[in-house]
Amino acid sequence: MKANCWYDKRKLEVVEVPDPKIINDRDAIVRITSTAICGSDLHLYNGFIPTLEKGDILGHEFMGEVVEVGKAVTNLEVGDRVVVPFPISCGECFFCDTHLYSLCDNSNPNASIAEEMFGYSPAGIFGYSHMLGGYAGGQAEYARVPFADVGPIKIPDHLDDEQVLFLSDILPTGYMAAENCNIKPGDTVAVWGCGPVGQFAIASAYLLGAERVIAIDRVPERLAMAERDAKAEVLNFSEVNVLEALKEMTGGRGPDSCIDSVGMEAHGHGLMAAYDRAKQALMLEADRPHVLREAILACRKGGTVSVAGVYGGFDDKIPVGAFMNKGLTMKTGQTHVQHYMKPLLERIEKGDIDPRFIITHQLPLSEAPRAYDLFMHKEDGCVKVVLKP
Amino acid sequence: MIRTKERRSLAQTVGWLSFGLGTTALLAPRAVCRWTGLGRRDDLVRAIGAREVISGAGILFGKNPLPWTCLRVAGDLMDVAVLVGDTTGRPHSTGRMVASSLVAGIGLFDLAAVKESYRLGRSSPIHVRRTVTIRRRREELYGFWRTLSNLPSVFSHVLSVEERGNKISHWVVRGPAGKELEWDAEITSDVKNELISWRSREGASVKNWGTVTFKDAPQRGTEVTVELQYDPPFNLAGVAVATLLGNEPQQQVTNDLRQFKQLMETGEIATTEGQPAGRSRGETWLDRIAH
Repeated sequence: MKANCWYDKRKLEVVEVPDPKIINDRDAIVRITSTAICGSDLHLYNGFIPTLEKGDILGHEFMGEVVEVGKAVTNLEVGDRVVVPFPISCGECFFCDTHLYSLCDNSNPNASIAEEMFGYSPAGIFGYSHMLGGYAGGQAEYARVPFADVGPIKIPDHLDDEQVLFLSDILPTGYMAAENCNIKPGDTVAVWGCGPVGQFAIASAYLLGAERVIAIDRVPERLAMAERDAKAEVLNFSEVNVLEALKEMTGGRGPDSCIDSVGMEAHGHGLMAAYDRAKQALMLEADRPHVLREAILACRKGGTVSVAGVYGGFDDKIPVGAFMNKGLTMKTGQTHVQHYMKPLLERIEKGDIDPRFIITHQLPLSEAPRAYDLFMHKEDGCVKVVLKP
Repeated sequence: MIRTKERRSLAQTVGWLSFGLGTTALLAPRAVCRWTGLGRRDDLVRAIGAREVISGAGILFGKNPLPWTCLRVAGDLMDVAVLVGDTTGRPHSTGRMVASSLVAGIGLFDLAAVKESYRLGRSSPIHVRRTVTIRRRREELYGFWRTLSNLPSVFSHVLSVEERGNKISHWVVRGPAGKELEWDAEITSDVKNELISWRSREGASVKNWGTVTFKDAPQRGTEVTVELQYDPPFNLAGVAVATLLGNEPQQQVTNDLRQFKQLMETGEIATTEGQPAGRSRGETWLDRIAH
């Protein structure tokens, strides 16, 4: 089968690889009909995530048709149409039982590597480095899905792939980010980043009862999408001072909660941003946490900072003093996708949200490397690319 | 990770060298005398040869290589004295000088072998203690463990455990380089659903003991604590035993218990072995230097 493989920083290639097989009894094999590139895939692309090996298959947002099931899989049959969640979760451990699926104890065969970095290992993830399991990803024609009796969700025929594909990752991610804000009536939510996750975070914040949502970015197409489709008020950070603007727009109080949907490759400006870029170039700092810093400073006293963006390492100069003295709450984590798939599918069926609004490009899987480049540089108004194997 | 190639210990190499040199001296003393420019000292050379063979054998097959490596060093000193002090033959021949330098050089190796043997004899036991919480009831986990033949599913270095009645069991364990070690063990303590202790019996090739305890973890399942100890023997098998649990015994046991937890909670062990990847890309070294 064809698969999009990583060979080096900014070097991807779609190559011919063997088809996946059932390895454990709770596995299933899915023939992939649609797959997408995530903003976090760009961290792999740009070489910011360690423990990748040449030839690793990338991709963790995928759906398709079940073509084979292991002996112990009773909830799925060959021919079922499913969306697959990006965390791999056993369904039996303490964390899965508490619906904290992305923290599964039992799905990372390389848990000892993650333990070195983090103290304890989170769940394995499709296509996201060997520290998180080294599982072959879903930017391919087929994928092996472990614990298929826990993960995949069946999709009714009347919904198109594009309507449900994002249940695999970014829609639950935006929703969980908004839910973590603990939104109360009258609340104003500020969202940094108008990429796909940001767009869904904005939409979810309204669904969860926010009075106002203010979105921050600098790419005109993305700001326009946030305003037109997600109904946010927008700020262009290359034109205004975000902290001051947020304060004025919220009657001098500051937003009640702040969502960081940018993560480790933030584009800042000013001295602090230059410092981050320099340290990153010298490999002295893993991430550029510009947005995290700003969100902490912008948030009103007693508010919540909800971090959806992905971070990897040990970051500098985080305003912990502001965090502590303003009595903030921070909520974060890789999305517990399995917890959100069913309720969000219902929302889609009811018409509360149509995720298709973020799709700007569709390309064949064979052009995945070009698609990454397009997505990376935000060229041609690119917000979200769907790949068809 | 257990190393697959057994490290050739220095003492072993020296032992074989000793053997070889000694045999040569025993079988062809005339030739040795001629080559080293010694006079007619066949008997002395034979005696030295015998000494070499004995010390070599002692290093390779004895319980404790230390005294034999010391004998080698003493022998080297004696050999140098003979080579330097002998005036009956040709004291200034090339052969004599080469032999003297060689013996001095070998003497340095022998000193290193003494140091290694001393270290081996003093090496501390391998001791590991690790706890894992498993979301299963104590009774279930104790029951699984008490059926000792299940233990290869727990410890990756254990190949088989056969219960032979009367609390005795026979263990087969994987050493490096495909070698297998075996011994008999007995259960010394068995408290239902709480604790199992076992210990190797008299005469075991590697003295060892182990304990597992099962404790309730409220709302979480059971805390399983495993403690293992292996006492490496004096001789060169100590090198093999030192790698029984790999280079990092604590890590090995942690990984073993993690897999045991996976097995108990999910019925399978998480793995990616056998999955596809784009590894053989046909990239040659030419491509690589072109980058």
